[in-house]
Amino acid sequence: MLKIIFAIIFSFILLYSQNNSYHSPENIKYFADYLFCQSDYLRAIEEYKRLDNFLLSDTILFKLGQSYLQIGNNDLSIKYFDLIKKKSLLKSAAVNHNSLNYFFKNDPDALKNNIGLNSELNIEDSHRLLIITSLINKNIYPSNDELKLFNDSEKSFITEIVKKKKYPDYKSTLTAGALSLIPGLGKIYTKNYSDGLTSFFLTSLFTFLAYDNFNNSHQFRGYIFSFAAIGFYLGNIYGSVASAIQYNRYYDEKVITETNEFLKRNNFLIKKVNFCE
Amino acid sequence: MNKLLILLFVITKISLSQFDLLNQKEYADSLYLSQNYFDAIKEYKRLIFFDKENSLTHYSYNQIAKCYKYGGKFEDSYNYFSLSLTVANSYKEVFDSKIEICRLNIIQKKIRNAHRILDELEKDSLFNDFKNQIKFWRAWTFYFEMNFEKAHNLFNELNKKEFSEQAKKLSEESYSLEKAKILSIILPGAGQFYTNNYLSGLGSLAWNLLSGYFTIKAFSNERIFDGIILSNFLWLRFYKGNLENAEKFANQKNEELFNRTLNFLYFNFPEEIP
Repeated sequence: MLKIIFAIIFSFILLYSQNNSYHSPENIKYFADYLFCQSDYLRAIEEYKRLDNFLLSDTILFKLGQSYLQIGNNDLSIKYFDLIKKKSLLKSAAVNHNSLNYFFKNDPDALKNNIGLNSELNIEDSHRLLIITSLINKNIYPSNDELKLFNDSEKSFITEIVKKKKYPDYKSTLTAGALSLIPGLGKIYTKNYSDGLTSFFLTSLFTFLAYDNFNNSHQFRGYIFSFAAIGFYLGNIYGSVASAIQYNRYYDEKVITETNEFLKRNNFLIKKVNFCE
Repeated sequence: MNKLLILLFVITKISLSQFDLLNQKEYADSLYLSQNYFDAIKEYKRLIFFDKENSLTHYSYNQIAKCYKYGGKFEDSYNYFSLSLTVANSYKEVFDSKIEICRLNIIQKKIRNAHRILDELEKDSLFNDFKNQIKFWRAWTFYFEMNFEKAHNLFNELNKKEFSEQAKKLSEESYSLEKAKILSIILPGAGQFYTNNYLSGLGSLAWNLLSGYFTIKAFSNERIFDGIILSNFLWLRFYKGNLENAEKFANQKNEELFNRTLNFLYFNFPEEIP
């Protein structure tokens, strides 16, 4: 009888040590999921990668793709999303997430191609992302049919961006240069008020000093102040033109920033797949 | 017979899981000791994940926080020390976590926060047994506050000879910022001389004398406008630069001294440094 008991305990120990170790494949997967849900993506990736290939289900491949996407390694993210089988329930989401990868890679052509290759799937999210990417990067305005893909608040935001793109509130460099013939006015035109006032003040001051010194027969000082006044005057013209260019660049950047913020607020228009609830 | 079998089964299961837990802890500790902090954090997290009884959770959180601290990720370290506080099972564990948070504040020179934590611990009667430890970290707080005299006194009270000597050394050898500045106010360049930067001191003195001479000459020749321009854009610029330089040099020298003594203490007493 004693032998039977020992045999049972021994086999139990054997079974336990094989299956219940913290580093058994099953536990590695559980732990990787835990890390993934803690947003510790780098360590989650390491753990998922310890699993044998035959254990890599579509869910794990998706999580690997998502982890790489989160840490900004878009190429590897694309690789794992691509590995998900066509018939998988997660395939549409994977294609949508790959669209996001191409968006982050600033590659609208690849995004378009990604949609074309998977047109039979439910990838409306990718279409919406492509519309916005094309609008921002290539100035391609969405048609009425395309706008129907968005809800009301999204639609009004996009209409606003279209308006800003079609009729940009740019400042003309020529006007800025012409106005700066009166020192500072060019900069005021580009809404650079403090620089405009400084420019006006300094040019006027040095012109007065030059005039005053010449009047009082201080020729040498007169020339020095004249030189400074001319410098400030020419600088004011050059600065006004540069200010207009800077204003226009800032305007374009502002449109891009606003769009990126809108996308961030709306999870880049890609529906989240939540594994952690 | 059946009861005996069930009992044996339960005992074996418990002891095996405990064995696994201790093995895992040992593995994580070995990574921590070999300064492989990235992997150590992962293994401590694994420990937390499988430790259903929470017997090593406080320890693991603390260790993760230390890994982040040594990796210079103070924000993450702070978060994990705070987490360890939430799972503390005894006053000792609460105290340890709070002291670790205090150390984190000291090392980041968040002196007011460090003093506040120590004040709270001091006022709490639960931690009466830890008065000396509180005093020790208070001394370190003064040390990082550059109040070396107070640090020296507290270390002395605790009979921490080496620490007290280093604090005293710093208190004697460090340069006074006020003194450097006042010397430079009275005589441009004197503050730099005080901090042993003779060349810079001479340069400062020469520039101030020259620009001062031009300014005074302009005023004495009734060239008021020239005088104003020279005094504003030349002399005052050199005079202000001289004051700022004196303060900068004193600060630089003090930092050097501070780091040298801190390095000495770190190599000799690594566990007792914030």
